[in-house]
Amino acid sequence: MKKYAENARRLKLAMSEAGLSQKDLSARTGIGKSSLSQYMNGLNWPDDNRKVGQIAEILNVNPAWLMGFDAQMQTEDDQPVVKSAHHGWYTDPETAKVAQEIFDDRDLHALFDAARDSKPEDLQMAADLLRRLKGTNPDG
Amino acid sequence: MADECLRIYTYTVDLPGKTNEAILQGADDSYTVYLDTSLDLNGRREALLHAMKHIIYNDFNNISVDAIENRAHA
Repeated sequence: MKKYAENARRLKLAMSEAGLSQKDLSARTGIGKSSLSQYMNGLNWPDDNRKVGQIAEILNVNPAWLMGFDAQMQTEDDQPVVKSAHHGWYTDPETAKVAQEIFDDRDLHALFDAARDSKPEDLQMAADLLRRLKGTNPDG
Repeated sequence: MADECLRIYTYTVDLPGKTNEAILQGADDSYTVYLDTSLDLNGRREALLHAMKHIIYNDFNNISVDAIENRAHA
């Protein structure tokens, strides 16, 4: 059995539903056609989750599902799992934006386990706290 | 010989709002997990598990918080 058979099946299903060919997906992602061919045939799978996330975003599916986890391919119509910063984990787009900014801040680079309905100011306060802790934490 | 230990430090702090846990990656590739003091033991276990998922799945090399969190909460 091919090592990545289930990933391949899901990838092909998502491509079919998105109406994208291998060539289209290659052009949209910048991933080479030969690599995509290997993914589609279950012979290989990206080591880098960013690639999977990129493919999932273009195919409009849940990256967790594409990775082979027991997750929904897509979420309910009113609450899609991952589409953009405005339709992601956080229900408030401003909170999603703040979370992404904190993650992108190379001096902090923090992830949170926070409620979906968290307020942006709460994440900002948490980030400020982490900056202070990081400055005083001997472990770095 | 290179130190190949995976170093994870955990602390409890009073995190604001509905934040159960925060995780930082250090410059030395260690991780620091801050658990909210209001969590009970089971809540801390769950929050730590959430943090471990981020570490195991190498989420700090990902680019989208939404993608990361949706997968971590899946």
